[in-house]
Amino acid sequence: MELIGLFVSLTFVNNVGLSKFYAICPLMGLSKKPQNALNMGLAITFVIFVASIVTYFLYYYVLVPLEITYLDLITFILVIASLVQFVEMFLKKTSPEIYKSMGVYLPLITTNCAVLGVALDNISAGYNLVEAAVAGFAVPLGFAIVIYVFATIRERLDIADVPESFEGAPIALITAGIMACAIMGIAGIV
Amino acid sequence: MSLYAIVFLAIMIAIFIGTYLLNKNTPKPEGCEDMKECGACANFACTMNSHHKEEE
Repeated sequence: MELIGLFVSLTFVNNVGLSKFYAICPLMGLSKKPQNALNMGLAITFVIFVASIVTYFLYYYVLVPLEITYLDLITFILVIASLVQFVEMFLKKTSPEIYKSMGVYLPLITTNCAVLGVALDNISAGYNLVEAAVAGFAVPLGFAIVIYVFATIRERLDIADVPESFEGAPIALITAGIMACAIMGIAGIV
Repeated sequence: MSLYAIVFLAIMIAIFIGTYLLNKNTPKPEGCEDMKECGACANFACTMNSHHKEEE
């Protein structure tokens, strides 16, 4: 039950984009087309999930025993960068179709602060392996849902009669703010 | 302890360089040689930005 609560909490209530304001760059930049948003959401879900598990093992089985936990930040950055390179190489070799649909977005994940944020949050929150894996899936899932919904709203805004001074980024930011308020409404559930 | 830190960091950097070189030397699948560059945002510092392709 606690894991379900954690899952719902991290997916909706403490949404990485609308509550913690991580990954605002892809949220704004890649939400112009729903298909791009979906591809980015899928790619980021895979990378964050694997990164959460790998960084958990590295932290508790290497950094803590060696008493070099102060290296966690640089370690996690290198792990994420290596992981992205590895995933890209793996997709090139095994599934060209997925590589073709996500290829452009994969390198951008290296600089996505949500990936690093989840890895660091997992450690600071003191999650065990199962909780870290749940967090590693729930957080990017929440991000993927938000970026996709945001993209569909922005698509409709393109044809809406918006006042000239609000066109583009201003109305997108207002929309994001309203979405953040809506998501806060789920806070009472968990 | 600082020796452990240096060795560990060197290993992590070596892993990153290794994966980077492996990825760079892995040929792209057919049809992906000239993939569309990303034009999602206006960050020209990003190497994926289509602005760089236009310059070429």
